[in-house]
Amino acid sequence: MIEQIKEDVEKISVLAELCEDLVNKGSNSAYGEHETKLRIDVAKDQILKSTYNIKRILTKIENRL
Amino acid sequence: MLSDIKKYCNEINDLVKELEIYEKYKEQLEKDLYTLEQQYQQGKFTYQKFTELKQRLLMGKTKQGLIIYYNSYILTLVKKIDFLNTQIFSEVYNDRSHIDLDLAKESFVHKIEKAEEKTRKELRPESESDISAYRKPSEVFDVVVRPQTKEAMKEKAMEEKQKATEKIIQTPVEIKPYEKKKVDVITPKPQEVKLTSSVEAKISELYSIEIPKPLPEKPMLIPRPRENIYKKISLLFEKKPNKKTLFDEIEQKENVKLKGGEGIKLGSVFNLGIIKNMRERSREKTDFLSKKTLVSPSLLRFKKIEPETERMKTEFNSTLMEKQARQIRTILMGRKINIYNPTSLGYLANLTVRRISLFFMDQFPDFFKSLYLNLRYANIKILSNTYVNIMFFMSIMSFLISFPLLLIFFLIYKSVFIIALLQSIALASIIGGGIFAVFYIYPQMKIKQRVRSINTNLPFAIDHMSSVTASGVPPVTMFKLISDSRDYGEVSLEIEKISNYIDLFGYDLITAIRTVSITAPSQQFKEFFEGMINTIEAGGDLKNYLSEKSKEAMMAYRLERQKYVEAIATYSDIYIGILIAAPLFFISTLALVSMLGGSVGGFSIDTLIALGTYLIIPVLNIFFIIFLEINQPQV
Repeated sequence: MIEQIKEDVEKISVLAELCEDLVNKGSNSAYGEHETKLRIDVAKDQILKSTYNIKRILTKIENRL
Repeated sequence: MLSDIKKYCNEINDLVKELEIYEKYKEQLEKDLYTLEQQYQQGKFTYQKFTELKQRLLMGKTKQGLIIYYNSYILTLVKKIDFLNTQIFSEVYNDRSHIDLDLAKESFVHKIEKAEEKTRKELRPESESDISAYRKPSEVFDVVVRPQTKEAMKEKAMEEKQKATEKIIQTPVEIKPYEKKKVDVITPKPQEVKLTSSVEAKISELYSIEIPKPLPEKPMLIPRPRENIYKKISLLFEKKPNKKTLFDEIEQKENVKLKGGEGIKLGSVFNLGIIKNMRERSREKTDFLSKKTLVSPSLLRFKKIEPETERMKTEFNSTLMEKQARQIRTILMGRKINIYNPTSLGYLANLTVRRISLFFMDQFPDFFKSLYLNLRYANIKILSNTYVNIMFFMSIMSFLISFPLLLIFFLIYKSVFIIALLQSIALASIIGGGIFAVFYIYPQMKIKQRVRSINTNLPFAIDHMSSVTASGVPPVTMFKLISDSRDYGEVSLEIEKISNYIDLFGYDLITAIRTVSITAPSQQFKEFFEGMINTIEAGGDLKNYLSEKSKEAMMAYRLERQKYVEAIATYSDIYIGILIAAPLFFISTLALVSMLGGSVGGFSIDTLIALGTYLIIPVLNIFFIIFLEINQPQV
């Protein structure tokens, strides 16, 4: 479970970096406006999923205690 | 957003590491305790060493206490991680970076408009007067525009435009040459087009020339490799089959773009608005948080371990069972350990006759050595020296008490003082000596009694021990159970000594058994325990040994009983012959003799009958009972 948390945290970190990069480049990025927005949304969704996973694992640990 | 989330992620990583460490500590503790208990069950440690090691493992706390401590710390860490996780969630959820991205787009359009405006201003004269200065006579520019073909119109317009431009250039008014403003945009093509059209508009406005506008050019569609829309949508919801990061995906797509392998696909047919709508709709329907999540290998491992740990917890544990049983017994029975209680008699004897007894002990060491041994065999709970002191004290006291009483008694009956004095001294000495002898013999009597009790109860005690050991209980617990049962008389007392040696004095099992077997009065008991020591030391199977011994002891008991029953049958025949048939004949003979008259041995017949009935027969019966008692086997 702890490994899973680590994995999710790493994922969040990488995705946040990606998001920031995309936002900074904005429309000037190679993908174009819509593509960029889509990518940002996908990355954010993935981050939220990861936070949910972490939350779920933490609840499990808490219940086990 | 990045800096905050990165900071939170780092903090979470630190906390997770700490959590992992504490989880490991907890697991290790449980594992170590389990191993220790297993080793103790296998007899690798004594109980004392086991408790010592256990205490060292638990750092002076109880197992429950230490686990609660670990759990509370882990819970604190979990709460901290949860808080940081919530922070990340709120940061991401409230992030409006895509809106900023729209603004950036607007600003781009704005920039182009501004550039156009600036160009217009540069091209346009500052005031109306200036404009009038540019104006030329209308005749010069009196051009009649007729409907022509598109090509002709275009050519004409171009010619007109050129002429007008030349004229403008020829005019003395200095016109600033148009400098194309560099706009910091990536797509300059539309900008150029717009600027050209604006110049034409300006010219037509200034010189009232209807310049035929070229056909509106369709915005050039640059074939750009696009992703399949279904891929994009499914990307939101699908589980990733492998651990591909988003970067990897992007890199892959970039490569595809560079190669130009994909070209225009289905996604390019729809415009992006439709895609956006579809995506929005799908997002409304499904929660952004997927309910189905990947089961990590660590979770699977935990699921594998979980039943194992549960089994370990619920598994039959003899040590814990023993502990619990002891606690319950202590509560129910209020068991108290018997200790040597000092007696006032012993205290008085030690104070008064200690020197005398020590003198005699020095003079006759062998005599007192046997007494000392007997005292130990007899399990008399008085210190040996104290017992000897009491022995001397009681003897002297009996002499001192009996002497004046006897003197008075003899003086009353006999007038001669010296004779009375000598008689009373002699009798008092005999009484004192008798008391001394009784004290000396008492341990031996006690030993015999104990031996009988031990030999009678030993087969049953061995049987009980065998049954207890067969259930997997360790020897110490077995001894505890036997000693607590109190059903086996002196055997229980001897076995209680073993458990006391282990529990109170901290002896190991073998030493405790050996000590008890040395002081045990029964030879059978000694043999049994020596055999047990040999079995344990040689690493033999104690269960088998006890089982064999139990069978053997029961067989011996049965044989002894059988022999005794046969002996009793013989005695009953003797009893019938001597004490039933013989008196009957005796009485009938005497009755016949009395009819004839005369006497037997100088006694009359009536006297003989009375003596036989009231004295001889009862005395014989008493002797017979004593004989039976003496001949009764020790089992």
